[in-house]
Amino acid sequence: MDTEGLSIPEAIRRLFGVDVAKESPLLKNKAMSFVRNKLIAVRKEPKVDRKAVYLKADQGHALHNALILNAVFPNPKDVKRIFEDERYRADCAAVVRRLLTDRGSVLGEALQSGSSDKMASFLADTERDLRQERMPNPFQMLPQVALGENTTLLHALLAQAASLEPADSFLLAYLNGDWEAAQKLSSQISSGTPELLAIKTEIDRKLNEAHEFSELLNFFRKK
Amino acid sequence: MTLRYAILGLSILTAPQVLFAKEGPFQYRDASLLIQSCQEAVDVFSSHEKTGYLAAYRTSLSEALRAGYCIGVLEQFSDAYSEYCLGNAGWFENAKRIASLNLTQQESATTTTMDILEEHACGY
Repeated sequence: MDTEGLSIPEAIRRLFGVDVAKESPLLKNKAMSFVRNKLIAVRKEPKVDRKAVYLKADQGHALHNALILNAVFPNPKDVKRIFEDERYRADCAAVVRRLLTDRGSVLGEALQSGSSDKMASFLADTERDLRQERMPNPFQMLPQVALGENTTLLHALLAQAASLEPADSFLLAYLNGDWEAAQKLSSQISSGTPELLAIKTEIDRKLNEAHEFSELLNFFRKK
Repeated sequence: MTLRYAILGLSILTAPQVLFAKEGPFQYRDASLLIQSCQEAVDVFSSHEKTGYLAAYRTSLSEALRAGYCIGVLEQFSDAYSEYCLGNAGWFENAKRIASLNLTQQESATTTTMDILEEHACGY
């Protein structure tokens, strides 16, 4: 996709389908900080009231990748360094892998798409040029857009990890055949994603069936 | 009266199976089906005794269906033949006796379900 000559909001709309004016001024600000720290090259045209900023040629992939990396690394300085410093880039690839893929969360691993892993691999492979190629986007919605100003992805993931724990253990308890514990933990879950609730419903159904079966066995033995 | 019903019932049970020997389930000479089913029944109930409602976790659908077949056959048999059997030990005791049987291939080809029932589910 050619983004030459586009304004930053226009480019973000093309790249991520996000209308920054309505949905996320934060995302625009983040993009502008990449312009300020010269990661993204622009040409400026004086206009009546303010200076207008247009992307130079071949900036689309870099902007795309910078904003995705920024979802994990909030500081634009760090993102710029990933572009420039191969060793640092490899370190950050390891962080991404730990954060997004080796989550140790049963639900996370069962439900997440493979693109987090692809993104980590892309980042780890320094042969792949962050300015020439677009990295796989693991986010259905960029965290900057979804979470807003006050929350970083790291915070969100920590909160999620903490809140996922009971769900994990109810699924684990069930898979381990500890139905007593599964039932107790499952009864504490009242809201969640449709996927989680589907698992809860299925487990509750199995447990009910087991109790019914048990009652029938008692009935058959009682003569 | 009861005897006539019993004989009628038995002939209904066995007649078609003689005609279609070894072509489908519930064969006249398929004693091993009953034995296997009663083994499942004993397993299911002893698992229930040990683990309570977790028995469902350890019992497959086909095990449960076989167990049900054994219970049904034994119950119906002891009901229909109660006058000719000495006492009634209950289906579970009978199932345990049948489950412990170990027929050779030769024996299972020649032994009828009725033979097994008369010998092991009819008073002792």
